[in-house]
Amino acid sequence: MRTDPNTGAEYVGKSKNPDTFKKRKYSHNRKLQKGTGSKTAKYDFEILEDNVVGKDKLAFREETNIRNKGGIAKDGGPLENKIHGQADGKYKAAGGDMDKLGNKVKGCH
Amino acid sequence: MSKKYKLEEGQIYAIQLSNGKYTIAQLLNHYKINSRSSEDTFAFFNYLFSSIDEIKNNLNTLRLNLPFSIVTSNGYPWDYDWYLIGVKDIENGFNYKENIDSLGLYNRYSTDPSIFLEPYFGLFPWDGYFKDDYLDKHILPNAEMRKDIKYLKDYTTEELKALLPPNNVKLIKRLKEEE
Repeated sequence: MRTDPNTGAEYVGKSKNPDTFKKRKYSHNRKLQKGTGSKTAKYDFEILEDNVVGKDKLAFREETNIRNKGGIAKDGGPLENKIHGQADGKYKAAGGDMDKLGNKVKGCH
Repeated sequence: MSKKYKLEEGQIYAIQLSNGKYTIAQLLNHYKINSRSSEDTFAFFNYLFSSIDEIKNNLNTLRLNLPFSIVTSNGYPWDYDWYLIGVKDIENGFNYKENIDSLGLYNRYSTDPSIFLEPYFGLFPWDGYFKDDYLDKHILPNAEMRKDIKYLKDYTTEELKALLPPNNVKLIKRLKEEE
């Protein structure tokens, strides 16, 4: 998860491996500094989960963490993410038990 | 960005702060991801120097057993223009390796050290980030805190406008209060 210390804005993302994670940190910081026009603008990065193997499982865990954090801005959630990690149907089919804003859905396991 | 070099645990770096003075860091843990990239964890100490020569002259007598912070950095020393001074044995009194996770990060997060170094040395308001206690997670428990740490109340609005990015929530709040 990425946090902007100046605004408190959070973003949940995924990386396929440690190398791409390292590169993403650079690109996110560059984009932030360009966007704010400030070289002091920087993000903190926190590992929410690791050792998630497989494309579908990674997408599912990303979506689970997005919902755990309250969801994306488009749906009224607090995260900066513009899109979901996984479509709602796929998420539910894979065993997901939260709605898009992280509320537990009755009848789901 | 300065020139790249081989990273080794124990290396000491001079870090120039925004007031021109220097502090130091020591590389505690070098976790190789592959031949080109790594996650690197540094210890930071409550030392201030006027010049790189002053650090070099005092290197042998520096006590490096009580860091105020240990963090994994987002970038490499050369990304931040840190100056490599030399190598010293790691004196850290506790087993920091236990806190390095399977991806090489200390306490599962990484940061840009200027986020806490500038506030620690009184060059940026300690409570200038979105949460007043945001920096607590970057500082070790029982770390020595400096007496010259500054807070938002110590800065004029003009000074804050020069220090903080325009989207900083505390700056926005101050500007609204003065409308």
